[in-house]
Amino acid sequence: MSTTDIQISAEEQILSYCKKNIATQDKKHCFYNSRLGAYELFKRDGLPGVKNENWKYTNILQKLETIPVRSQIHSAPLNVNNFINNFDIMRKLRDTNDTVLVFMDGKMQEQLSLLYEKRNIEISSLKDDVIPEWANKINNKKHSENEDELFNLNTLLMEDGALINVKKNNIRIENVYIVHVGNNNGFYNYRHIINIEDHAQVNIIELKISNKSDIDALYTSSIIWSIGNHCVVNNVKYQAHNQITIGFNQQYADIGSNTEFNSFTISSGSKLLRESRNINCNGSNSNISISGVNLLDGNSHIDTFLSVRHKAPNTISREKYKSIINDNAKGVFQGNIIVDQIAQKTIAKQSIDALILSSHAEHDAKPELEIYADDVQCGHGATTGQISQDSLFYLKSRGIPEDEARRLLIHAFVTDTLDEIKDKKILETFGDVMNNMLNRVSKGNFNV
Amino acid sequence: MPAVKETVKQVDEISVDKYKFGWSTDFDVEKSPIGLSEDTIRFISKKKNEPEWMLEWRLDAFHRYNTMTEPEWAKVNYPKINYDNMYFYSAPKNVEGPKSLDEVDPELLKTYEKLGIPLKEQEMLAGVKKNIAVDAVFDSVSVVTTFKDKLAEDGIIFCSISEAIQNHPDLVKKYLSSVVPKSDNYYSALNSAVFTDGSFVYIPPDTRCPMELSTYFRINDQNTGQFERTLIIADKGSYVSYLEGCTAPQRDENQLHAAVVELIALENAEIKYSTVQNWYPGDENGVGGIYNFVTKRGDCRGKNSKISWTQVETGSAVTWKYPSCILRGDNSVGEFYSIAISNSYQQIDSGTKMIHLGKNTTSKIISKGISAGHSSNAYRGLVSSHRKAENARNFTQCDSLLIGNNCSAHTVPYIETKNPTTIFEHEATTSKISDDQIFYCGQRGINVEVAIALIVNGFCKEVLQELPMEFAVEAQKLVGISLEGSVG
Repeated sequence: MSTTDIQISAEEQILSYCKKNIATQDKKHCFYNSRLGAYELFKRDGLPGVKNENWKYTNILQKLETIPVRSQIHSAPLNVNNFINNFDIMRKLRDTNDTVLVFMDGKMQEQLSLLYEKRNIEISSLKDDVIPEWANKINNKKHSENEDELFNLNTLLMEDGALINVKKNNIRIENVYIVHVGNNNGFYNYRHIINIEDHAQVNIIELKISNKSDIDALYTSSIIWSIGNHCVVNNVKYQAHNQITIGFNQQYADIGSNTEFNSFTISSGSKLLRESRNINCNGSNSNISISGVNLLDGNSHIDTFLSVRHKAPNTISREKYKSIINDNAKGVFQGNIIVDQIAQKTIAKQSIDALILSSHAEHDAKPELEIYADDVQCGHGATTGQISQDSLFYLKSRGIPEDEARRLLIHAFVTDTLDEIKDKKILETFGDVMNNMLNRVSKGNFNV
Repeated sequence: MPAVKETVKQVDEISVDKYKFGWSTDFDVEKSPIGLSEDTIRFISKKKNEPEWMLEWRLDAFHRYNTMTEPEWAKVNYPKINYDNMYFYSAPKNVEGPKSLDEVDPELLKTYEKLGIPLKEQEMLAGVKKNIAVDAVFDSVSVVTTFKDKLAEDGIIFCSISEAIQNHPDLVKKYLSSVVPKSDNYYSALNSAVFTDGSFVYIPPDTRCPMELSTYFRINDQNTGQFERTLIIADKGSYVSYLEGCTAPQRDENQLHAAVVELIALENAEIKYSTVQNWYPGDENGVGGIYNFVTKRGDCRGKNSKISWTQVETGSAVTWKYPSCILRGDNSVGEFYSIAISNSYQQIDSGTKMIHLGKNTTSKIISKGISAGHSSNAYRGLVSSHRKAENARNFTQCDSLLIGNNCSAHTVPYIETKNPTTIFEHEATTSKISDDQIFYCGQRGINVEVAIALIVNGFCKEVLQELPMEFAVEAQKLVGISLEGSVG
């Protein structure tokens, strides 16, 4: 570390950045009050330290020495189709008239995005001078009930983002892609607000990629979901950052009754990646599934924080996370299921499994249950271990080479999380993507 | 569901007034100056005739304590304790070391009789194999130690810690606070500064302690904190089983209990530590009750050593207790079996820590939490493996049972793995007694009350069977009393 006495800490750098930022904001804008409130809170709290129970295993300041300065080192690609075809997932998954929103370094790139006029989906930008009433309402509500330090930072600094409104009775399943590309060094902040009205269906596919291995980016991003009653929402996310990117992702979802919400994530890389998810089941008879696979190598550090709160009776939630940890990487999982007193007949299951492949790797898990209702079935399981030598021997004794045998066993370890993807086409594509990533496991490199 | 309604009704009916041990005995007591200061510590040390090094040790702990703040991370709520309004030492006056039970204050003996400690009976059965040596702690001072002579024949030292400080200073100096450092936490620092008594056990090499050793702690005097210090050393190749049982009379004001228990198992040694805790839990409105803030830790220092904790927690208004094992020696084994029952407004935040440092260490955690009434019952446990802890193995099972819909159950496990050869498994479930089970029993002519008793007993069985014979009966009785009305 080259920290000298003169150099100020990243926390102070962020604070002075915030101070400058708040001075430039338009005081008449509908977000101004929440930005100001967030600034006051951030000034008071600063970045969360390891004494904060939710950050017990992740020391931000150890990873974040200085905030990267914005630079223009790579020019933006111009041809939209070439650009999209670079992505495996998009090439396989995209229908011709799917909506694609491309963000580069936290800014919406209209020339790279594909926006079609759709009857049932309205898309606007957070940058606009006039924010739709629904988006403002959702944003303010979340701001008022939230004290998360990084959410506040994001509220204060957000520059751009998509506002997606899926209208009532949208029966045709629409795919909406949100693609983020890190193309240049810098500190980026963006927020998406997604509103899904009653009886609607939608697939939201997020891709987050670092374009080059030397891009030093720090970002905070948040998605606020407001999902109505009788909806079916599939959310899949693929993020592959380089080894120097630091990212803080926050997701908040309020879910109505009789709704199905499935969310699946594959994450790899990153110097530090915080995946924070807060899901509220506000309506009865909803069924949610949150699952994911974390593939860590090098010095990467992925911290998944997941809180699911059942606030209504007869809801079901399943959480299934698997991590494969190699080299010096560190995986953290903190999960919390809260069942309110009113939420009788809740069924909540959580499982966290980690496979550790190197003697310098580390995995910390804290799966929590907080139950205030008696007629519930709640459970969690957590395991950590290595590839079983017996299984390896079994396969080798049948003529399968060691590398192949290891690949098979690792594949078998993570593959059942894919069951949580309900959309068949997404399942196939993500299955392929994961296969490709796992094929490199024996070489200790997960990045595609 | 009629069965559910009935259960809820019965649970509502459970009144903690049924607390069997709710009375106090009138004694002349001798007290330290009120509040916590250096003077209090000097007073205690002087009263106990302690050598200079012990006083300095205490004062050091006190200075460390002054720099610490009360922990607030546990899932418990209680009004702030005013340490300035508390006596840190109180001793029954007539304790000049009675040589036999006959010399003991008869009122005290009556107290024990009510508690069901069969001291007399034990003495009568002195020749019989299944003896229990009881080091009875009445408030703070160890009143009588039975069977000391018999144990001395085998070279076993079983005495009060104050006696040990006088007679075995080398052992005390070597081992005291070597497992729970003075500044380990707020309450251990407090305990180190003001502890008044407790038990000391030393088992010489290659000795199997011929009987179960036992201490009954009692809190009797109003407004006194009880600060016991227990130190158990099992030398190479030895074995000891230690029983700790606690009851306290009913009081309106909250009382504080901050004990420290240290276990040290050297090569090939095994320590089995069993606790039944039934302190006053407060009345049905949550008024009064004991605050139980205990630091218990065992150190498997030698190769192939084993420490096993078994606890049945039914009392106390607030429990804050994490019996832990440091698995330092290669091939060492740690075990934790727990039943925690909370009723009315009791709050329990209890669990364990298994810290795997040596190679091939294994640990097992079985925790059963039962919450009823308006209580809150949390399991909080840590399992961690060090970089060099090759082949560390842990299995954890935490089950919670909820009776009634005003109580809550929480599970907060911490699982930290730094070694690829580690295998850790954790599972937890939360549920209620299923109507199917009750219906099944009903079909066979078993009424609801008996059925619930049957099911709860079955739920706890894995832990109950770990208790030594002598304790199992009492423990089962306590489980019954704690859920009386709902389990029959």
